[in-house]
Amino acid sequence: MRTIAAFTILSVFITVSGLSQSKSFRSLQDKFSEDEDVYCFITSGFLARTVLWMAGEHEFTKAIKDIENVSLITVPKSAFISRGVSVSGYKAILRKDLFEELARVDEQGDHVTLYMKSIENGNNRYMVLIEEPGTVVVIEFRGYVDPNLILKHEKLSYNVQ
Amino acid sequence: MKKIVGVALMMMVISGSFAQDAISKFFSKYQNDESFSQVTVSSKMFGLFTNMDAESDEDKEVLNAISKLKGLRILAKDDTRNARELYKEAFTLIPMKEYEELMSVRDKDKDMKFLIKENGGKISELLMVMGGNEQFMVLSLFGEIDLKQVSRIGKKMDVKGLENLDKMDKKH
Repeated sequence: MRTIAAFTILSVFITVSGLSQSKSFRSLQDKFSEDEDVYCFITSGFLARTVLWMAGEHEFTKAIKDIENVSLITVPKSAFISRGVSVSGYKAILRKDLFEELARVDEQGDHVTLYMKSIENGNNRYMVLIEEPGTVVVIEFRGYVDPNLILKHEKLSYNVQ
Repeated sequence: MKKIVGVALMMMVISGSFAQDAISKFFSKYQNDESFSQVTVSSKMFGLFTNMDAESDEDKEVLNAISKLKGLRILAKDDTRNARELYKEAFTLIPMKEYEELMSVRDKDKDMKFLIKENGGKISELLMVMGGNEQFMVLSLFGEIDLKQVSRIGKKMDVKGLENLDKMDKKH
């Protein structure tokens, strides 16, 4: 009985989590799902907050307190090349899917871009695109994020003392 | 008469776009140089502040001022020996005729200049250029800028480059 209950809960969770992804995230997942060294996971906002809390990211945990789902995929740059696609091409897909750029940080060869897709009831979608020299990481989450805390994040701050 | 107005408008648009290009020139010159750090914040991000709840009237004024901003760009280089040279270079690329110097600070560690651009009696851009012993930074804040609120914006946003705007507030 326990197994059936656990299976049912897991199935519902996976289904709901799957539905929580945007078209552009799913397109990335579909494109690279069979490639080597591609990792993808979908988790609830609660679990993501717990992990961030344990990692000591307390400010960031506060910023995403109303987040419902988090999806993450890491794709090696070589997979983009072998499939003849590019990160800038993916950015075009994001724009087509109505994601708007909120902020961008380029530092020491890493490029981090934060996108947002506005949804009427405030249940917005956010996409973080992290371009490292060898890997592309895309994180999507849904819900409300405090913009004040995003701006106060250390990545946006420069010490000019 | 229509032609004259048309030509005048065209001239204004052209001169405006040249000014934009001159500032962008500096950013684009170094945008692919990975020793520089760059931050770009879009108007969409600032627009999010309009939906936030303010705890006090003062907060409300700051949020209102933030929501009128159209963008922020920062180009910075840390641990560099040529920070002073970059500082000088910045002023050769910035069309100084378009800007008015608001304040400059010089101490043993750094030189700093705040410049503003006005359009129709409103401040449309605030430019901060800083060159220190080992650090260089250009910060461009554009949109509708309320000078009385800039230091509070700097504190509210906690973007460390902007905390220098506090000096400007004290001066006024």
